[in-house]
Amino acid sequence: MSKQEILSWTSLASSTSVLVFYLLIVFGWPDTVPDYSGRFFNLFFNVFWIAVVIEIIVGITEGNKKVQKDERDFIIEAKGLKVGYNILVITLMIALIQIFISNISLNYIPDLPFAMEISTVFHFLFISLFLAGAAKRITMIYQYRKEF
Amino acid sequence: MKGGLIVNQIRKLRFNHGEMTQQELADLVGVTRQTINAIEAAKYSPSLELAFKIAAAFEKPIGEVFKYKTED
Repeated sequence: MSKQEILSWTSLASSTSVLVFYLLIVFGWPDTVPDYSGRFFNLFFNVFWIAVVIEIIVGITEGNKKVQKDERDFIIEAKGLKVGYNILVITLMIALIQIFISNISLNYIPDLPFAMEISTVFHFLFISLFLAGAAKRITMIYQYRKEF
Repeated sequence: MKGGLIVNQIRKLRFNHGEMTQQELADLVGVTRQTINAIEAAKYSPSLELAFKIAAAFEKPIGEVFKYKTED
């Protein structure tokens, strides 16, 4: 595995952990499911720190290499960025439409379907940032594994 | 023209050049070892500049190192 591929994996793991923490803190554990929130929290806490340690180790061991990133890495990163950007644009459009609907519901037509509170829209935006980043990294990992 | 594949003689040329390793070739041309591996396996098509650098590393014309095979 190249350095960039390893960093894609660790970045995906650490950002997924942060997303899980965020979801648990903001929304809590669902009532309909047995409470495994403690185990989830510990699991992703460990995943996060293992990812950070691996990134540090890779940075130290691979830091002396002559070439850190070459044309193939840049092409794969560009493909990942394209997917991440598209997802971000779609989710931003959904959020903007939601704000518009919520505004109409608040001021003109109460109980409009699909209206959300503004705070929920912000949570959605925050989560979509993570999803876009995850999509980028998953695309990069797929390209590395597929070997073009 | 139908789609094709760029095949190469890099592995053979490496062995003929004092059993050069993939890492050594990668250092010579300025890419990672994984990229050289992907090129040899015809899983990645190098840029024109990189192809010329690889050919120059073996002191061969580019046409002797890389060939374009069309699917007929």
